[in-house]
Amino acid sequence: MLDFGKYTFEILISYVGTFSLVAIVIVSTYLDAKKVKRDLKNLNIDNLNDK
Amino acid sequence: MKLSFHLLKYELLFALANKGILLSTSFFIILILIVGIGFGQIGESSEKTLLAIIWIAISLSSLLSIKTMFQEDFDDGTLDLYILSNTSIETIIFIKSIVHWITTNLPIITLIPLISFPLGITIYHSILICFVMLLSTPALSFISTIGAALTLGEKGGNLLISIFILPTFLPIIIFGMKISLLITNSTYDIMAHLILFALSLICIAITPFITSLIIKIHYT
Amino acid sequence: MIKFRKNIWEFANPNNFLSIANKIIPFFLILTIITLSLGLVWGLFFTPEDYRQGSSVKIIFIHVPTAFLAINIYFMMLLASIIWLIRRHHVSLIAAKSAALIGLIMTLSAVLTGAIWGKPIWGTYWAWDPRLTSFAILLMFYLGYLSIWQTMKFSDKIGDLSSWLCIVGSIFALLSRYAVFFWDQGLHQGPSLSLDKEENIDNVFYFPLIICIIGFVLLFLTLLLIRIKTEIQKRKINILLNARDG
Repeated sequence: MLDFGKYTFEILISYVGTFSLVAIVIVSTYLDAKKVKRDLKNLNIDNLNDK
Repeated sequence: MKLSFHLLKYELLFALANKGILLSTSFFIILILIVGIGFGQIGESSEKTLLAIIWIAISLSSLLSIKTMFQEDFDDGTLDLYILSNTSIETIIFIKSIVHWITTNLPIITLIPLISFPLGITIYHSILICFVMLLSTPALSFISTIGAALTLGEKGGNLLISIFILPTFLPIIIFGMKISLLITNSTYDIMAHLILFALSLICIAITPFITSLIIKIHYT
Repeated sequence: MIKFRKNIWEFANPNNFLSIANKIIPFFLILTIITLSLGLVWGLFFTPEDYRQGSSVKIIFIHVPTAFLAINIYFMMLLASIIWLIRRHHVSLIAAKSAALIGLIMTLSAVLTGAIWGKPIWGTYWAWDPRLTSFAILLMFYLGYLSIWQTMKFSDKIGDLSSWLCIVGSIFALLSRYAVFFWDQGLHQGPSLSLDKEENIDNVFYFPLIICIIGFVLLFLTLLLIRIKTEIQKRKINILLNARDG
């Protein structure tokens, strides 16, 4: 299925390369967002306990 | 005006007392020799590589003492007084950049015929290259003041200055190298000379204002 | 339902921004997935081979969108920095900060795909061709802008400094670009897309390419919105921590 004739390797490597680079941003964004969400939740609970 | 002359004299004497000239020329000679010896080992010592080394060495050495330009004045409060006083801070930046050029780039440029003559560039061509450098390197000193202002009060700002400022030298370096190459081939392109000098003049005219705006950020 | 707002600057209020961003992020996410997969599948499987470049022409569907984004994200950062310097809206500054990493990655992938494409067509991975050199220049200015945020902590002062760095950087990046183009026009072909219809590439490649560009722009916008949201929440956490401890 993934056979594009003479330049199959070039095409596949450029698609995989680009998407692994983009995946770095996606994963870092996702992890960052998750961490901040957890921090915010913990902080709000702490604040409630203080009261 | 009188104040500016006093400042110029004071800054020049201060720079001379600090042996800045000796340091920058030694750095330049060592850099040229190191790169020359390195290229000699792989047998690639043509005049093209020499030209590239000269331009890179001059742009690196104009970043050498840039960190101290505002840092000392910032630390001991002189810069506060400058900002409070009536003198425009742009004038002070202009004078400081001129002094920086005189103490770091000018001695190096006078050395270039001495260095390039034994390495295969004729004396006539090397003097022409010196003239091109005389008119274009002031821009390097003026641009690097932006880096000094950006990293004011930052510890270890020297590396940051190189990261910010070296890419901005590119237009000057591209035109300078190409013109030097044309000179060694005994061809001249008057348009390229004019554009290089125009770039240099634009940098001299604009950067003091940008630098003063950046310095004022540290005081708000 | 998003209310109609009289003034565009109301979006600059972080709370307004957050409430709107929370509503539109899911839509953008779904749209991104649909357009990107449509464009890439169309481009990969349903386009013919070019008569000169063979099947290697399929690389265009990621090379052109990433290159397009790499340049335009820098323009967006410049615009956001200027807005921050003039109107002091924090969202604008945070947008510039969050876009930089995405721009760097887009520049890297444009260079990478270009190199892979260049080998069979020009016989070399890298040449000091004007267009390639201007991407190298762009990469350096992205690195400079990112390094100011990496080394210093978030504050309004650093925001000002980074905005000035962005402005100075874009002036010199433009100057370097024209300095490079002054000497020769190079190997690289002209722009693939322009308003002048005559110069455009063939329709067979044109429509999937447009869909791919829209897909990548949507991907950028989604990532940017999430990153801005995260950054605003980080600052909220800092404020809350300071209020609790001090």
